Amino acid sequence: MGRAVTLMLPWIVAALAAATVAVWLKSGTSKDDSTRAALDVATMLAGESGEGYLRADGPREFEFPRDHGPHDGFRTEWWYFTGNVDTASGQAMGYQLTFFRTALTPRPTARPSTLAADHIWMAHFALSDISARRFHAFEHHSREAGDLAGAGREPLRVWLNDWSAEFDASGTTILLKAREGNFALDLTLRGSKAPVLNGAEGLSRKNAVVGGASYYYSMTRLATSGSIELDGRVHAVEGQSWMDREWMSGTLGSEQIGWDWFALQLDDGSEVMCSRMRRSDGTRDAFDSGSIIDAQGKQRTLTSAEFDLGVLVNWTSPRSKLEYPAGWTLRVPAMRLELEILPAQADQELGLSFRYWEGAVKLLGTRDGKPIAGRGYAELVGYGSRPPSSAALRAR
Amino acid sequence: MSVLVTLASLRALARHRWQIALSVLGIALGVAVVVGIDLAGASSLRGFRLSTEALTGKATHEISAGSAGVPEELFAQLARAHPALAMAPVVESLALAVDEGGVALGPGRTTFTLLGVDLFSEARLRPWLGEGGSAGIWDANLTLLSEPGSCLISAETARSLAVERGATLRLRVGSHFEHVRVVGVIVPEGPRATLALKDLLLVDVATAQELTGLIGRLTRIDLALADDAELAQRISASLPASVSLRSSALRLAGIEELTGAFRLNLRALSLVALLVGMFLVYNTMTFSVVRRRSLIATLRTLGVTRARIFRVIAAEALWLGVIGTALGVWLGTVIARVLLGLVSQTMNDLYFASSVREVHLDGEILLRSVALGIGATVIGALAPAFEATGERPRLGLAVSTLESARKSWIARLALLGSLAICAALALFALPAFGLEASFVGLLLLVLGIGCWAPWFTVRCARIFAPIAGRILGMFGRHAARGIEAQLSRTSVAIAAMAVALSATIGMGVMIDSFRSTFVKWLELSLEGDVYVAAPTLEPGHNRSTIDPKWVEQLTSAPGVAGFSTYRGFATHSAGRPVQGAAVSVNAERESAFEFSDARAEEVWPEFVAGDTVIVSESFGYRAQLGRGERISLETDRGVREFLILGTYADFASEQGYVLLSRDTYGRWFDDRGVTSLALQAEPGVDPDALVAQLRASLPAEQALLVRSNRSIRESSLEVFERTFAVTGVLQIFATLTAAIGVLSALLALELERAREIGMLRALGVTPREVGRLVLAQTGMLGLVAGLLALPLGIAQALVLVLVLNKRSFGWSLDLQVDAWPLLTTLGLSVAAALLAGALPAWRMSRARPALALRGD
Repeated sequence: MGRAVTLMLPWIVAALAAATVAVWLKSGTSKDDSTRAALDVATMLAGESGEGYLRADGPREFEFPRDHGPHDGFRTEWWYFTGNVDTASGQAMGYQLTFFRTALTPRPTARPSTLAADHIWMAHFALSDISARRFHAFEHHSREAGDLAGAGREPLRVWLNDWSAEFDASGTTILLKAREGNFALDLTLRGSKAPVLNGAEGLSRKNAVVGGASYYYSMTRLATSGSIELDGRVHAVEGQSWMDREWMSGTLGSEQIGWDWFALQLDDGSEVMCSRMRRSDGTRDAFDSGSIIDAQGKQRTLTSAEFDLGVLVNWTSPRSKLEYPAGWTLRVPAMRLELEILPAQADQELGLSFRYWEGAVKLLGTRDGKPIAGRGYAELVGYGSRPPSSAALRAR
Repeated sequence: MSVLVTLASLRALARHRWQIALSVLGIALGVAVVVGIDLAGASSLRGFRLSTEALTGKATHEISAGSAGVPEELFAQLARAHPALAMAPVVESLALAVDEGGVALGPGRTTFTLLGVDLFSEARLRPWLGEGGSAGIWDANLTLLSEPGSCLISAETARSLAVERGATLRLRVGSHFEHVRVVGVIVPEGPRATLALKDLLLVDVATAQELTGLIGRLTRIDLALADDAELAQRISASLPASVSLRSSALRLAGIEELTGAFRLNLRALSLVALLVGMFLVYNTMTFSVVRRRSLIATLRTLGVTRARIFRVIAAEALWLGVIGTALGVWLGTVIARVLLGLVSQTMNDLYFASSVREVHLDGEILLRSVALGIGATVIGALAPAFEATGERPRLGLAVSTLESARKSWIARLALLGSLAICAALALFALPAFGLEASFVGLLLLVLGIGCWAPWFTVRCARIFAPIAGRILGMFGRHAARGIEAQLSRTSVAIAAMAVALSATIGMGVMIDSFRSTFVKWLELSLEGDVYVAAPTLEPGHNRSTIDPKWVEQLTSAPGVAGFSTYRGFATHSAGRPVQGAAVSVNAERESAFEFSDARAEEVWPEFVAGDTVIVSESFGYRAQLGRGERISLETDRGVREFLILGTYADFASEQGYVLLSRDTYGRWFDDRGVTSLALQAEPGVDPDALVAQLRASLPAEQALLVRSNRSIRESSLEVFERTFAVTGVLQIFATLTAAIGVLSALLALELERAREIGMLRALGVTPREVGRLVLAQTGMLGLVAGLLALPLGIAQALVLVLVLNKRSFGWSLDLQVDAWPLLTTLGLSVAAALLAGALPAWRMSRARPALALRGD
């Protein structure tokens, strides 16, 4: 035994040393990087007070097509296209293409580098494959520099990489283009109604804060034709689109945690836009507003008191576990309008760096006692997130 | 019975603890040097590799161009054409954080990587870059975009520079001083982020353009193409001629390749130390076996098997190996810390900017060293173990048998040595063999000459005997004969000493040769009186440029008679990186070149006129190109072929240079920058005064280096000496191991002669005379070893200078053998031997004859 130990010990020592070395080697490997937490749109609008930026605080003269272009000096601006289209065989689809532009500083300085940016862009592109109950959402970010993203006036155009919206000289025809892998859209939108100025002649108050308003207009009925590619299959489509244009420097009020927004196109040729601010205490916000546009394009502004929006049912996202409303009743007593609004499909949650629900909806109801139907888009923002304050942002 | 054998073994080991201790120390030193060198080399490279990998991120390819950079529009075009592809624009440069006086801040003059990125693009390539749980990082990311001159740094960097969020840093970027504001401090999450952010100044790509002056241009575009070769092909085909797509891995591979020769050289030199350690083990084990021959024979006659005895001796050796190696590995990590500074400095001077401050205990290296240490010990002990067990037991009882057997081996050993030497020469002579083969050759050469040690010892002893007899009388003659009589042990001791000493000679001669060649080259090539250069933080090549305004002002300054310009640039030839330089030629500059394969008057007229180049010797060696051949280079107008007019001697860079005339460069490249100027002073103008005058004429925000010829020469030599500082340390260790070897060998010898000395004392020899006898013998041993070390050392030097330098770096050096280092080595050898003999001599002279005679 003694001999065996004497002879074996060096080998055991050597083996132990080898084992220790192996442990060292193992401990050097790293685990994968953690995933970035998603933000929400409300967060983007919160933050600093927007000091130094131009403010939407009074009436202004809108001028088209000029106002389709960018408005420097404001902090945030967006071009929002949504629409419901069908293939020849009746396959229903929804789409969303949105360009957000955010200023980095109220006082840009001239810099030698052409890659230096004063604005950053974010674009979202989503397709609702309603018959297949599939939803596809993509996003891109970029600086407004070096031709990467921007808004041009000649031609009137906003773009981020190869996603773009281009207006014709009259500002009534818009070409939308976006592609992400095997998903793409190439649509031509033709406006038949003049742009609608929402709120008070285009000044849309969001809260009582000075400058807590936006300039807001919509093109509520845009005859749409073109093609949509779904997972490599190209479909010729026709339908209706809606464009929302808003620019502002303000923030949400401290009690406002998000909003529900509806763009509804009824089959009698009229449209309804309404939005409901959601307050952390659950009470009705005095700044809810809307518009009703008749078939001829005549607009009537709806105040908070003039419409009533109730939630019918909720839906929980299987991915984010967030609960969103998934069915509403809209009543506009003065117009004798009662509508039930239901998602065209439940899951239209954009799980991007901003998390929100934006999707095609279908409408059924009565107007003046007669049945009426339609389609539209709804946007649900600020669900499942704490009130976005700048303090919360800084803590990140 | 087994207990008996083990006890006998232990008793023997305990009796000779000094021998054992010296052996263990020898192995430990050998292993320590190997571990130290390997760890230091690997650590300095590892830091660079890991941070490069972390910074490369998920990128697999990059689009880059010559000095002019990649046009920034290309990024937007590619982003539009391939929106799904993860790609990112990068503007990268090195920067130094400096105080108001321009002196570098931070520990060890940290060179920072100024990385200009587009954070939006980074999310898909390097998502960890802008992340970190520190306060305000979200705002900081946006501030990076909106505020010119803003940067993010890691918490570690903030600590080392003693700055906080909001602080302003003064940087030297290229030839300018700039200010940046720290708008955020990142606390990296995870090891990758920590590595990526180490010594990093993260800025927006636009800020980086502004800081580096690369307006409208990018250093590169990083892309993640995965394995999509078809896509890579398509992108490559769509690119303009001035840029090209290449694999990101090449950048790293280039560095590894670049430093490969340097690291291999260090490792080979460190193996010499281990080789000496191996000789020591061999010596100790031989000694311990010889001491126990009668015991072993007795055990054998008692029926103990050969196998058992072999195992016991092998186990003894294994124990020595394990203890020595363990000690060596520990000592090696200590040495690595000392060497790291030197090795890193050299890497910094010659290859890449890195600031490694910690030794990484690389498991593979440790494991390899453990195997090497234990393996070498066991191999060293194998021969004695075979000897002890291989003979018939009866014979083993007779002490002289081994000696008489050994003598018949002298000739055979010498023959074996000759074969090894021939094999080595073949490895050196045939160009088919590369660098690694040269090291094998070196090893064979050393072993081969070592095999001649017994023969050499006998010759020397016979020559010494009458001389020693005349000087020291009978004892002198006796001492000399003793060397021959105990040849089996004396020759091993002599071989060990000679190998250790020869390493000192080989390295010394190589460094001397290198230095003298280098100095000659410096004198030839420094043709200007005053040099002006944009300071560079990138070792090996100068890419920062001098503002054209200052070029104009400096070259027309009073006192300047003439000038020539130099522009270092990087390009590729057949996909491989190439260091290029564009030079304007005047008479002074022409004289600064010496061609090995062409006459100057054949070269210069064509050099200016045609699409021609000249290449440095190391480049020519690496690329296997020379006069009359053509080289293809990537230019801003696409790939072009250039005729090579000649090969010139150059020691400025080991990867070598391709030189174009300024006119040729202008035809094929868009870049108009100048990285340095050589100015000739007017006759009678003192260069130092001119330097002072030119310096005074430059504004403070310019960081241009204005230096005289002399000061450049001095700093070049400084770098040279720094480069060989590591070799110096190795030399010390080799010598130290040699001294231990000598001590161990002589101790063993003299202790064994106790009986003989006792006899002499009993015969009436005085203690004083015994002491003199022992000293005379050790002194002679030292002399023999020293003499043997001379040819061995010179042979090594020849191999280092003529074969290894050529194969490692492509440099031809003039062999420079001074008598002085050789004589010093000889003196050192004798002195060390005398010193080592002093203790045994003292002990022998005091030994009581009766006790000594009783023996073991």
